[in-house]
Amino acid sequence: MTITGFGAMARRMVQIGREGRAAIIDRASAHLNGLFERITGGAAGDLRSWRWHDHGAEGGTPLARGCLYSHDTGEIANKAIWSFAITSTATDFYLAREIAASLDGELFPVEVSEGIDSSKDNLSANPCALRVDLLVSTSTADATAVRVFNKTTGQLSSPVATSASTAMQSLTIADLPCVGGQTNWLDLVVRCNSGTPTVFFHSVIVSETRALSQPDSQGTTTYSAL
Amino acid sequence: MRPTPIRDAYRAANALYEALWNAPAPMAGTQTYRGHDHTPWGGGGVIHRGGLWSETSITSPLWDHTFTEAGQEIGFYETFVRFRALARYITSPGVPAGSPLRGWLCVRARGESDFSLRYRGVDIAKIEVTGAESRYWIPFSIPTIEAQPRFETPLLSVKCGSFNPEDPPRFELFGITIAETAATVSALNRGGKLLEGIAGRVSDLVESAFASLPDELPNALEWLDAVTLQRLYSFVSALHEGAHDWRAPSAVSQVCRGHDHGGYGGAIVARGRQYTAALGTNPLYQLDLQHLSSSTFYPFDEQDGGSSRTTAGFGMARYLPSAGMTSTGSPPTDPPYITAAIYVRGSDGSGSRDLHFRARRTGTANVSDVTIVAGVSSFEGWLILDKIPCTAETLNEITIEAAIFGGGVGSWVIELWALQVYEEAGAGGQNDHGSRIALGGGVA
Repeated sequence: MTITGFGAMARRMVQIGREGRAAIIDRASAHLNGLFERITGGAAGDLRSWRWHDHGAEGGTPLARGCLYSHDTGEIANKAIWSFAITSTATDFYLAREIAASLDGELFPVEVSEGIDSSKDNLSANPCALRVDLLVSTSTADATAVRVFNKTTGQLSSPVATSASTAMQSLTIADLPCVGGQTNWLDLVVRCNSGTPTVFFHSVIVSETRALSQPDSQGTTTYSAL
Repeated sequence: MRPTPIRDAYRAANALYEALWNAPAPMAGTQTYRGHDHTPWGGGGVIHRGGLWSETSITSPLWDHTFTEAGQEIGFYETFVRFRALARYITSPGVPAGSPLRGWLCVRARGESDFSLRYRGVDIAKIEVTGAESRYWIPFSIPTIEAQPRFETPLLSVKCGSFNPEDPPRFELFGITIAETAATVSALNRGGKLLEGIAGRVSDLVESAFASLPDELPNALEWLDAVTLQRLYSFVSALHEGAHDWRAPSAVSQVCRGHDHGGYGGAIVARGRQYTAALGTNPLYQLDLQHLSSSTFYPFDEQDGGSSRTTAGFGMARYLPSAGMTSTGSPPTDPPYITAAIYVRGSDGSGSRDLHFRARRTGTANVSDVTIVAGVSSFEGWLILDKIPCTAETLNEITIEAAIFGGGVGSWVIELWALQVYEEAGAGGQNDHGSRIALGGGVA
């Protein structure tokens, strides 16, 4: 008979028990069997009693899953397929609204992992966030700011800006707020204070990363130091 | 040596330590057991890996189809190059056939008709007519096709209702995303749920520690003593915290950080799809080799010249490898490394040549294996580029290259239509585990 269970491994059990009392070792054996099932997903006996940890609702540190969304327009001749023409200076343009009111601010979706949520702090004690990497160019040499708006949380990322050049440039946003375990709807926001360029989004990647997105543990000691 | 329950418990705890942290047990000379990596091969329960495919446009549709009769059904990209190559993805290992994937479709539908989205000939979503100025996202769900596949391709189609030649039905696709979510694996986790228990009293003295558990301690002693037992108790509590990232039962607070398959311990977990590039009925790149040389690799954006991404140091795929995903060698011979799938079409119309393809870390000498299509005058289809070098937790730029071998370049033009980059579970997306033993494996 396989015993599984998660009784507390309390020192007082050892202190009060006489040598050889089965209850003390049974408690440890049961706990080990349970951990076997929880860690490995296998069965400690004939049938598995416990669901395995899944870094989500079943326990375990939330896992950053990397790329949630990407798009890419390939060679330069395709760049107009993902472009937006700014029509006035010093104005924030939310692309989804500009393209079609029916999009209701939803330019594209990302499925954020369970537990990856800005209500928690990441390993750097900042709110957990998504990372956005953009490959951008502009039709005129006007510095243009880009932000990402998360409609689901109602929050904007910090802005990043191109330099005053028409060359292709790589920009990174490191603080896009998110809510975990559900679809988050995102939009791109552009602004130019000096001109009215067309902005070309050659590539956009939205990612969960360990550094930015993973919530910090309540434990303070790494296993190797215990 | 006498076998005793306490010695068995010591050994079990040591084994679980290795399976959890992917490190030798305390004071062990070598590691016997593989770190779990949530695959059937490495052990650990099935988990979902998030996004599988994403393809969008904003100014012009990915695909634009006008129907010609009532009740007509057409597959996505039918009559175009990417028919039956709408998307291609690897679902997570251990996810059985029939598990739900979450999809979103951005559409504009016009005309005096109605539309339905269909999967393998069955209606799965209704598409409302939007008018010329509107578009919107609709949700859909499709099942996984098989357990532990290499690649799956969804067979989606659109069907119109009535037909009015004065205002014919017209369907425009502006985006498609497909992902695994918690719902994909929720039916698998049979068994009891476990939640973090309530905090205990200080007097319970629940400790977390990884003191070594050598055979000599329980072997040498006739009677169990408190030290021998307490070492085990605190070890088990620490394992509990490390596995779950929550407080051990009856502990006042959590001591041990949870494993995260990264800097806080644990084997590499392959994250699956990490980049998608595709543009509907437009090729991403066209490499015209007519004025170039044979037996020489060229990047697919060669025609962009000095303005090309490759010249600027940017990749055709841009990717942030997971913790631990740093390869060795060019190409790497052992994991970890990444894999790409590309959809290409090439033709010359005469002659038989060998087409060579590879991936390069942009601006470096680090390249993947070469994939060869031998002795063809034309070719269209998916190819795998394997053993692409990678560097963990930094943005990797990847360039795709092609070359003609076995004769002159003639009038060869090769198009790249789709590109996916993967950390593939059970292949490149893992630690080099040698001969270590896997514990468990959560395949339902």
